[in-house]
Amino acid sequence: MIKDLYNYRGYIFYSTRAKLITEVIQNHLGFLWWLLDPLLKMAVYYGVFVYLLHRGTEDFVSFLIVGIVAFTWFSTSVMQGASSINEARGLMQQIHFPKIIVPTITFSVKSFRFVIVTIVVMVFLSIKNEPFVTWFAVPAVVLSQAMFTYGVLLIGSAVVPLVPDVAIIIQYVLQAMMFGSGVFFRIQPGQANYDIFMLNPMAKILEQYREVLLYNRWPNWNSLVIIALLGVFLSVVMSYVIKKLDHCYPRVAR
Amino acid sequence: MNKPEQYTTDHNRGELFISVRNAAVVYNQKRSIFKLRKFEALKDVSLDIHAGESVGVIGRNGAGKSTFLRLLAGIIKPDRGTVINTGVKVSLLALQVGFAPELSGRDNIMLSGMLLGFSKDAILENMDAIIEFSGLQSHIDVAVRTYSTGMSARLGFSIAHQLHPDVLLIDETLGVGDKAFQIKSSKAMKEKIKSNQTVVLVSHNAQTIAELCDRAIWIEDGVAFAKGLVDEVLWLYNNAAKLEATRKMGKNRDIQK
Repeated sequence: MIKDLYNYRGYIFYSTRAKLITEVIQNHLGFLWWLLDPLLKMAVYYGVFVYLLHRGTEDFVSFLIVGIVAFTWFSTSVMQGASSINEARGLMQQIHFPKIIVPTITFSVKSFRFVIVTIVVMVFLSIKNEPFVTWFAVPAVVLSQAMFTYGVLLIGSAVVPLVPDVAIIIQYVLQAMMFGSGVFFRIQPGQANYDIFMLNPMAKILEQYREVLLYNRWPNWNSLVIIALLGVFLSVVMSYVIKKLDHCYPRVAR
Repeated sequence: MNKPEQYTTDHNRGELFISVRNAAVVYNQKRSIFKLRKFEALKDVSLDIHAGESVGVIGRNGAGKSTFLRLLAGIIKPDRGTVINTGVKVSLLALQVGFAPELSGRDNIMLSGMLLGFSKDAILENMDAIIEFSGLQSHIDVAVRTYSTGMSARLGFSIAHQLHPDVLLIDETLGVGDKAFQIKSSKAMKEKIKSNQTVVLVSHNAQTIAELCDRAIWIEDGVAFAKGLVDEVLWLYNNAAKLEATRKMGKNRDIQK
């Protein structure tokens, strides 16, 4: 897996760049959409939760934006990763290459976008309040989420070409996860069901982002390590599966 | 039917590059949840490809030629039999492999070259030659989206042509650009073949194969009908075609009666 990715690092880099350029120049507002997308999502959630349901924690805007940006990175990566190998059908039928580079490119495109948006969000937060020293832990949270996201994304990308129905199931799972990860509400330790709620790795990740970015507390290092290791485990297993199926995908992709 | 003597040129053949032994490829066609139809694209094909050879693959539409090319390129594996690659770089002269339409021609040369397995340095070294051969000097820094079909095809051809893989696979049925570039590319291919480039050429035009190849394999219905020296295989192929034509004419006459 590492070897394949290393050998094709140049291609992964150039292809990621190509996809980013395409994304940016495709629409008239280009790069602005990267920022508009989370802002519009936030406007919707804010409207629903504050004006319709009269809920919302203190400093709800910051709370929402952190959750939305991080969860969008996860959900769009997994969603597009699931269809990535099928979309590379034309390419696969003309040339042999390790298929793992296809979902990896999807992941690096989404990650680049996430990093840029996160920097903007952090600038926004630092204008509102003084930055906390705990912001130094942000890269650790990002890294943990990256591992987990990549692992889950590989599951989808490996299975969907063989069983296209899974793509539909993934949509429902992502939706359930969005509701269950606390993108727009907060469950605190001590509350009922907190332990069950936190079995969802994304819920734990979002909690850590808010701890370090908003509440000036250090993250739960154990959780971050466990989630990262889970991601590494999934990545290793799934990359092995994809390798096994390397010659099968060009036949079944549609 | 007289089969031509196989491997009549064995004594002066180069190092073995790819060996296909009794390969069969079965595609599953799913009809519904329970019905699975099996379709044998290739039933039994064997062929050795040695250094410096140019091998023509001939046969009608749907005979399994493209599947055979995919086997040689290592894209798929056979369901029965074996394909052994002795460690050579095989590339399908694929027109417009993975072009990113929003990027410039130059960036796409980089992208395609890397996907074909060449290093950044190797591509940069050949960059000027590729651009010159494609004849797209004035358009090379413009987005490929603005290219005509022929222009992208020319760029695709030039990339694979200039980067010198060990074995070049060409699916001629895809067609390359306009008439002028076709002449140029076929001339370039001839030169390549003379310069010891190993080539496998798929075509349903017997004339092209006769011109460019020294050996040929005729695939019909997934089976290697004949293989050997190009003249012998083509003689069989052409006569079979004539035979078929007269048979069909005969049938028509019967109907008219």
